[in-house]
Amino acid sequence: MKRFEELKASNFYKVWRKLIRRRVAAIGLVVCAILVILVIFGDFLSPYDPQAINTPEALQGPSLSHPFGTDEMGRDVLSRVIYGARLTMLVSVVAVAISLVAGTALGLVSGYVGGWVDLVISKFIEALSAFPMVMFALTISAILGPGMRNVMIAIGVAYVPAFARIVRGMVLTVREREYIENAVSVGLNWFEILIRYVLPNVSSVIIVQASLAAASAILSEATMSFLGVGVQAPEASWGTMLKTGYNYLSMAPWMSVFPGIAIVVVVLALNFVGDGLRDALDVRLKMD
Amino acid sequence: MATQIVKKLLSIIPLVLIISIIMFALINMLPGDAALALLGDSGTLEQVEQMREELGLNDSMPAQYWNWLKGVLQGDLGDSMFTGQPVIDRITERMPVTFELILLSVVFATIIGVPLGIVCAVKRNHMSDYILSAVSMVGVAMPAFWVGMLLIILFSTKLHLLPASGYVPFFEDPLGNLKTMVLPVFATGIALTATIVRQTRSAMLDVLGQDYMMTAKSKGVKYRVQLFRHALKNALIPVITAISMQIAGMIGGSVVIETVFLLPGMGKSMVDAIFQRDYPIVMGEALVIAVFIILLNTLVDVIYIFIDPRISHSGKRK
Repeated sequence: MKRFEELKASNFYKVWRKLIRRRVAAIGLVVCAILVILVIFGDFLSPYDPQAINTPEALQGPSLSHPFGTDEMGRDVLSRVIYGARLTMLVSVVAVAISLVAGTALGLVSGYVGGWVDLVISKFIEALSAFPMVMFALTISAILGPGMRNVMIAIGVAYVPAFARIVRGMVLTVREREYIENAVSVGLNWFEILIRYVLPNVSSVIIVQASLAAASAILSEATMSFLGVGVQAPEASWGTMLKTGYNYLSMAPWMSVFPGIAIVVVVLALNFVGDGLRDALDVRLKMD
Repeated sequence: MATQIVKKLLSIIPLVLIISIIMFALINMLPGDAALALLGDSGTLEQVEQMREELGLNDSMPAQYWNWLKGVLQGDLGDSMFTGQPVIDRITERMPVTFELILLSVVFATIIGVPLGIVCAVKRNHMSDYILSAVSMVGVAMPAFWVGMLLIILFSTKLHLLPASGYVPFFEDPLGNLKTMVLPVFATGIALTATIVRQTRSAMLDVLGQDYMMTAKSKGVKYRVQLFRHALKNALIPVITAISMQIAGMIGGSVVIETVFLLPGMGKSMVDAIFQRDYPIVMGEALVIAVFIILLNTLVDVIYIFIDPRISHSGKRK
């Protein structure tokens, strides 16, 4: 009972209450929960083996036995959408993790240390963000070669400026607070101050940005895989499914329609959660 | 004001320098040795060494960078490894297509988005506001190329109204050109339209709550004049910012839209080049586009200084 009381008083619980009180955010959370279940238990939930080739049933339209139809090799599109969720989410999560770590580190150092370090880092970030995301990621893929691992790195690096800029902005406001001054006067070094005092105070901004970036990383994965530099066949992500579907637009439009709907639903859900978190955590972020 | 503009213009220089350094570093990270690539498998060790010397590959990194930069400044971005065509020629050849796509999309999105945003603001918390806001949220969540594919399914394969792909230069056949551009422009513009609706809505709501709007109202200014002359004019600044910030993303998006609709623009050319391992083209185009975006952002900043002299050098836009 006491532990429940403690939980109730915790910050986490307060934010959670605020978050689920917003209907849109709650819907987003439910969709995300369903997605996580599909990613983990996909093998038991999908009606067919996503890789099982069954040529006699190729290119069939949606029916009772195949609700999303079948693809050019007779594989069940619904099963493949469920299966594709894994790689799509994996790419998105890893890419965001890369940009979160690198961007946060750059933003923290740049904002806190200031001076010429700040000048160099922020000019560098500004220059990086002049490259359109997709083109920059494509250029990196050109160097690293196509493939799933490289596309994670490419998307991750391309999102670094967004994190760095937001974190830097927050650090600039946090830096002037009294507790930082106290920490300095006690003789902590700058690394300890960053990790123990600055980072926790910018974490809510980072969380919000991460959920919005995850949504946009899903769109990037789809784009890169569609262009052929991302996840490679026979593996399936929603992007590769759209790539195959493109070749059968007139014959089998369902091959393109359903993976696309999956993308839209998940991106919307993540945006809802992100917007909800922004309100719940009371973060002022410029949304663009 | 003049000093602000000069400052803005001068700030381009370090940015462009950093961009060039990033590009040079990326080029040097490319797999393969240029001397080996040029000689093929037949080169002897001495020939390779001689080639390296001729190409300046044995110079120090800063010296190589300086030579490369001098070339770039004179418009020498290297030649295509595939066709031998100078990269700069390929860019000038392909740029108009991408430019037309972006320009038409911006025009389309502004014409649709701004009025809808005003409707949302005026009819705040009415049914029409809810519906439009919901639609624009979906608009941002859709991959543009998927929208393009849906448009092809609907308008090309089912209704046979518009071509699914192909391109005719505008000056050869203006009508044919516009016909091939309708679907790509719609696919590119839909996300921007959604963004413009949201931005216009919030900017209008901001402005409508200002004191001077109250003053205008109490003076008995007509509602329409209040809305357009007083409110919209002031609400447009954040909207223009939003548009200019989306252009970088749209140029990126054009890569995949041009691939879907087989438009011979810069984006398609870049994707083709990646699969042919034609690195000079990939790098040259990325460099040109990045510099173009820096110039565009600076232009917007300068326009701001003209529109609103109160905006300080470091203000509003970051």
